[in-house]
Amino acid sequence: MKEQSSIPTSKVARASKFVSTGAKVGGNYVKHYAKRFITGDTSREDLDQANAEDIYGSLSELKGSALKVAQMLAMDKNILPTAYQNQFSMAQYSAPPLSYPLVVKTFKEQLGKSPSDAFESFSKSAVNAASIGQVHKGTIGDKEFAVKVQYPGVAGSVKSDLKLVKPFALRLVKLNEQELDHYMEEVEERLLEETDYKLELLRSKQISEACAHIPNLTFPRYYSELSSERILTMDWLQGLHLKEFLKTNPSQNLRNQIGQAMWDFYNHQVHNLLQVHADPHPGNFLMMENGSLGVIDFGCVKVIPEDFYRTYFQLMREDLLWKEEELVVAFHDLCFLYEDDRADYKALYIDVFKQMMQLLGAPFHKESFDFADEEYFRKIFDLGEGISKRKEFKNSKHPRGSRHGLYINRTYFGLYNLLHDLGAEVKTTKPEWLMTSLVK
Amino acid sequence: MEKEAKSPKAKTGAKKPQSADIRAKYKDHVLENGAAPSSFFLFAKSLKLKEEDLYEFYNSFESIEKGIWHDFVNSTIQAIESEKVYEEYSVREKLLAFYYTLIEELKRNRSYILWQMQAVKHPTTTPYFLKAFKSEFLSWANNLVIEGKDTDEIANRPFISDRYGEAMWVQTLFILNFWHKDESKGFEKTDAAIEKAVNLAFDLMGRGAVDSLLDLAKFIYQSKKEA
Repeated sequence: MKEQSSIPTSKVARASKFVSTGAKVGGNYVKHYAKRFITGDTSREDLDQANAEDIYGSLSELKGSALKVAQMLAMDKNILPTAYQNQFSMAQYSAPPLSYPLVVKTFKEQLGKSPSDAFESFSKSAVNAASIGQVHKGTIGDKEFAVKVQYPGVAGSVKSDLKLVKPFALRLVKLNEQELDHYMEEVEERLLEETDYKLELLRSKQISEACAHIPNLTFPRYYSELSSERILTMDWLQGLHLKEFLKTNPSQNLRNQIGQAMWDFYNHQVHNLLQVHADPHPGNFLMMENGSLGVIDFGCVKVIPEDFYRTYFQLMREDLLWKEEELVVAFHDLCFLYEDDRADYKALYIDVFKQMMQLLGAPFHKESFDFADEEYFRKIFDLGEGISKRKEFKNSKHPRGSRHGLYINRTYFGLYNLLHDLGAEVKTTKPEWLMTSLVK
Repeated sequence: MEKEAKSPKAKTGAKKPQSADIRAKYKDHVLENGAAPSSFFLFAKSLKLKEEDLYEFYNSFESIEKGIWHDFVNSTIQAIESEKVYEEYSVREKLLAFYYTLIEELKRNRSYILWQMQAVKHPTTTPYFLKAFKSEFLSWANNLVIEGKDTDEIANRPFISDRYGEAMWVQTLFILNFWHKDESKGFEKTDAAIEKAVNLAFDLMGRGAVDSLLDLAKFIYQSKKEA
């Protein structure tokens, strides 16, 4: 794969410093990531110096939520070179699998029958691990089903897990407790929702119906009579994960076709449905044999508040970047800027956020965009690095960015990365109000 | 078995209570009054029995309580062994199935059990009411250990492996106590505790680090003796 050979060796070398022990890596990345995630403030030095064993110690206790964090990390291409990223994807599979007797028990408790009564055949061991559960394969006749079974006690432990993380997070990001709570609430809400398979079933049905018209998308059918709070049954999709798919050397046309489906899928959700599959992790997509994109996990859905939607996405308009006054108002609305920011810092903040929006908005500014472009991703990375070195950001006492932005950023970040890995060039369809030609 | 007559002597009078009826009545009394009946005489009377007739079944409230707990383990073993899939289970899975089914069984009787366990001061020792439960469990668990040795899931270690049944009993007490104090929704935490405890137990009982350790210890000991 070309993107692997293009990673600057210095970055690999720098990163390898952190890989001396597994524990250290885990902790340091978590720390680094948590900070970036919340303040947008990252610093390589911090990552270097991090004495993270204590953090890892408590995180390793936290199966569910910590796995979630690891999963999010695995997504974060800008920070982690692919080699280490791959190591991290393994973290998702480190939870010991549920024993079959417990699966039987869960079935009896939730559906009133054992798996062998509900299906003609049922795999005794898990065929796949999800972050808070595992997937079994069942069959009835020649139909195949994917059955997700949740680990016991996950829902109950989300709150206490996050409480455990909090003191560390406070120390890491230099925020006061109130401000941190603001973000923690958002994360807690999403995590709690993710443990409710009934809600996931509902959303899966809703979103897959609402997106049914988009070409080259495949959704599994969901079965409510075989689902409950902790069991979710859907069609078994036969496809390849991104990594395996790339190994088959797909043609550029096929890459573009799948990439286009992905872009259209997100475009429709964000701009028309105002709720979005906020977990564009490679594990949640399957490349189907017929050249379509299979979407298999609706655990994490972010509902976008209307006013946030308007304020945030206007920043994707290229013309706004030249209207300083309007831009500053928007930055205030989105908590990028605060009234009490130091005057001498303010100009810098505005400049940096403007650059950021110019970069993130770039795909929106054109008719079509080539996500294979290494240069583009390097620019994003460099901007991130640049920010992290500035004391103006390091010493900021406010978090930068509104709470709703957390998952929206994550969504777009993940989407861009997926499209980059895919090496796709897509027509960046967008709603009319964002289509502005630049008048200088 | 305790002082429980297996089959009550067939006497005249159609509605002679069976020992199961007596246990059920005793449980009801506890649940309704939050205490054991104040005397054997009164309890017999509530069963419409003469006191001496009651002695044919039980000679104390303690032995009734033992019988109640014995029922729990009995019906658990019956329930898991009647499952078709049970035969295909590994020994580890059989033990897991036992605990999950036991907890289901106990759940139906939680109020009674909470009352009973009030008196337990030291969670590591076996309280009197678990005596019959324990011997039934041990005979089942010891068979399981033999099976595990056959399938190589459990390592045969001199002296140590004879105590595995007892070790599983301590684990059972741990799980009982955990469940007793569990306040999570649907006792999900107990499920997790069972899963983890059984996994650890089989990791320890299976061939692995423990054997290497014993091997090394033996080697060093013998080397020293020769020197």
